[in-house]
Amino acid sequence: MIDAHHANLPCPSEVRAWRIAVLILLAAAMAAAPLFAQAPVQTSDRARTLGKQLMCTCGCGDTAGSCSHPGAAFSGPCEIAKAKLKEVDERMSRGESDSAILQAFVQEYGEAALAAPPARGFNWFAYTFPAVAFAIGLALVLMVIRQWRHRMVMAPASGPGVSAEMLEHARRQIEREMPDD
Amino acid sequence: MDLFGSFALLLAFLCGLYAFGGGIAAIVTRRPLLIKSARHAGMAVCVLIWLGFGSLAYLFQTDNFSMAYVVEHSNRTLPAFFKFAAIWAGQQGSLLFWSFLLSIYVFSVLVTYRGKHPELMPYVGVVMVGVQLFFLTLNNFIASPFQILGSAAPSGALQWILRADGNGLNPLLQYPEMVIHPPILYSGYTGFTIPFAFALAALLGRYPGEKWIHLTRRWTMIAWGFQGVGILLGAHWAYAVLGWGGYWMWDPVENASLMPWLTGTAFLHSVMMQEKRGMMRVWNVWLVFTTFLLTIFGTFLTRSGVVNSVHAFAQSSIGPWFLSFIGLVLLVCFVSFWRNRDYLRSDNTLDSLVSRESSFLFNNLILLVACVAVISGTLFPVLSEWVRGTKISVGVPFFNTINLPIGLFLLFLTGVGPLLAWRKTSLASLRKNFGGPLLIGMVVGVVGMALGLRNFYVVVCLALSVFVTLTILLEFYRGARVIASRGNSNLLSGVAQLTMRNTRRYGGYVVHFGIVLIFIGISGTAFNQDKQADMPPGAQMQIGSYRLTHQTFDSTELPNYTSERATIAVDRGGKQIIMLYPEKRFYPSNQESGTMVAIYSTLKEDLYVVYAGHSPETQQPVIHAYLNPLVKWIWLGGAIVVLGTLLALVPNRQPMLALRAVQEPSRAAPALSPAPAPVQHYDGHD
Repeated sequence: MIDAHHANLPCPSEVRAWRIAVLILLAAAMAAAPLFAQAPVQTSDRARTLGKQLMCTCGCGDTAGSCSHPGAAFSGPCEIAKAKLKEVDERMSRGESDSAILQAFVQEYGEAALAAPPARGFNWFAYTFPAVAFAIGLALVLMVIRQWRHRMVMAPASGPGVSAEMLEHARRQIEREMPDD
Repeated sequence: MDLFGSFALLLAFLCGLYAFGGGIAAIVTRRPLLIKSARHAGMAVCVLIWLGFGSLAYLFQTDNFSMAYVVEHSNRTLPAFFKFAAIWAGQQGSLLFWSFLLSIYVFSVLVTYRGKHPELMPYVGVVMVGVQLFFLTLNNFIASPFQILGSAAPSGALQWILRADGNGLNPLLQYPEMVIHPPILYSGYTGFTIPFAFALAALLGRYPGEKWIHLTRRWTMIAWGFQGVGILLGAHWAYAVLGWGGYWMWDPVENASLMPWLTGTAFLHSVMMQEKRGMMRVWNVWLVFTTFLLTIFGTFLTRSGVVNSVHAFAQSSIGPWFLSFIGLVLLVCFVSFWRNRDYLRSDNTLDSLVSRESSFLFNNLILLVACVAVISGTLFPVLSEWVRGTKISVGVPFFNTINLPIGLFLLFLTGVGPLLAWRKTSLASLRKNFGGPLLIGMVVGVVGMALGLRNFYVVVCLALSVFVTLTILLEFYRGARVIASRGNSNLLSGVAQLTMRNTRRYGGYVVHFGIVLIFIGISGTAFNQDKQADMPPGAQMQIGSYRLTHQTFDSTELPNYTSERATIAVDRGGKQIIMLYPEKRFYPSNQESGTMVAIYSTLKEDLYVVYAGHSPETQQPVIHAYLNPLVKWIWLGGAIVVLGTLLALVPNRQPMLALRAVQEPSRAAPALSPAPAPVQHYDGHD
């Protein structure tokens, strides 16, 4: 097995190669950092940023803040998206908070106005379902692991002793000899 | 030719009925002649479907505007290769295209295994033909692409109509990538029929051992590879054509293609447990069933209109047919499983919690949770309306919130899983394999934060990407070092030998590295910028470090469309780096417009420029520019995933090398030759 081959200690040249590799990697990460340090979403219009939480209803499937109205003569925000962004702008100029504006849209157009359903009531189901699925799955996995381990303990020791390595070797031998068609 | 195509499909349906019925009779009676006859009928079905598909292609190329489908999706000035792509632009043609691709797979399987596995193949044939029959029913009776235009004459008799020209192809589809994206994605969808057929056949026939897994490994990888490439090409098409600056919108149609890919990925991993340890037999069979059912379910979502989608070019009332088929397949799968469940009993045990086996279990769990998250998000609007009577929208913010942590955990497992040993991994081995990479990954994450990186997910993604990359590199390095030291060759040659000795394993690592690059590319989304402005010629715009100058503006009239094009000079730091030509096209045949985005792409970022058309308010040309960091890494990662998949499909070279090492010296000079060198055998973890 590979572990056996790795038992020997690395020679000094390997250690040096490792150090160089680590230094190169760190240098690359530092070089790339300014890229990540760019300021996020530079849209000058706060309304457009908030508009990305509101659905556009022109059929583009996108948000009001990013509607490109595919197929239309003008690939900017469509009239519907513009109207929504204008309303957001007006509400902002009146000093309303982002959450109050979103709430106002929900009252006016229903929950479908939001790009993500508000996390309350029945909508919690959408947010928690994957987590519930994970929890159930995890419980099942642990149960299966326990069952498999239990079976190992209960397995009767009959016949000559065959090590796990020998079994694995035999299995590989069979795999090699079996035509892989 | 229309009658020919229609007749070919009808004959294919009849042959399919015979192959299906004859196949079942052959299984019951075990008469060799009947088995052969059913197989030949199955092959005839394929050939007839090819003829039907060929005749539809001919009708498009010859502008036969007496055909309703051709009128709807083509016109005279459409270039020939788009006329070919127009075949799958609508409901009827795309369903025939599905049958066509499926028939290629079915024919290949029937030819490849002709005369082999007599206990298994009759079952496989019946299952494959059963699936074909469903699509042939749609092709013939529900959504035939060979309908002729007609109207009632004053006398009341039916008269044919020949239109002078067609309505043209949807402009969004008039893009070279759309010629290859659907065939590749459909090849993925249809390809999963083969492992499904083998799994169900093995279950029905109680075919012993893991042979069906060996038989279908390559078919599954091919289907999975096509599905993955199809998804990426679709993303690239959305990026380059829709003009919204993004590549993934969590649209129901995109989600539909992702779901079977996720379960298919889970299957490709868990199947190793069955091959190596005889474990997870029930799980694997159900994973294959689920993957196949999700391909049909995805098609149902695309076509039924159950959920709204910008990509759904073909919607109709065909949904109930798909739902019925899904129900029928589910019933067959469940009954087959229930009756033969004792055949699927695992014959091995788990030695340790920290082992490759348990890592596969967790990998499968996370992939399935990802699939569940995508399904639940896609269907939640329908569920909400059904339960509460309230319409809601589930868009990008929702899917990102749910799927980002899942994706990152999966990335973590990508690094951990492959380096755990089968059966049991010792603490020392864990430390040796993961200690360095984990530490360096964390250091890089901290350095990133110190340098201003503030987005939590991006920091985690960066650290995990470094960790996974290092674990992969280490694995190559260690194996290659052993080979190089034994064979007195250099490290690079060692890597090549190592890879070719176990292509599946090392091809898998290459795929994992490609996935890392894709994750890095996706993380760039957190820093996207965009700007939109009226830009008459001479106007300038600054985005990031780029300055865009609108130089000229021209208009061209071509046979199929009218083009308006802006010429944008891009400079950075006072130095001109490129000229970009974003374009807006107007297609008179269907009165629709399309964008041709201009992209200056580097490894650091994409400068993505859209000419949006004239502003309705100011009548000035409007330029929408996006600065999207790291997008190129996604396409690069995709190419590496393809490379890794192809590598994993190459047979291992070791047995051949071993034979030569023993035979050649003895043949050349038996008396004088030294004893044959012992065969070098590098034994990996898998």
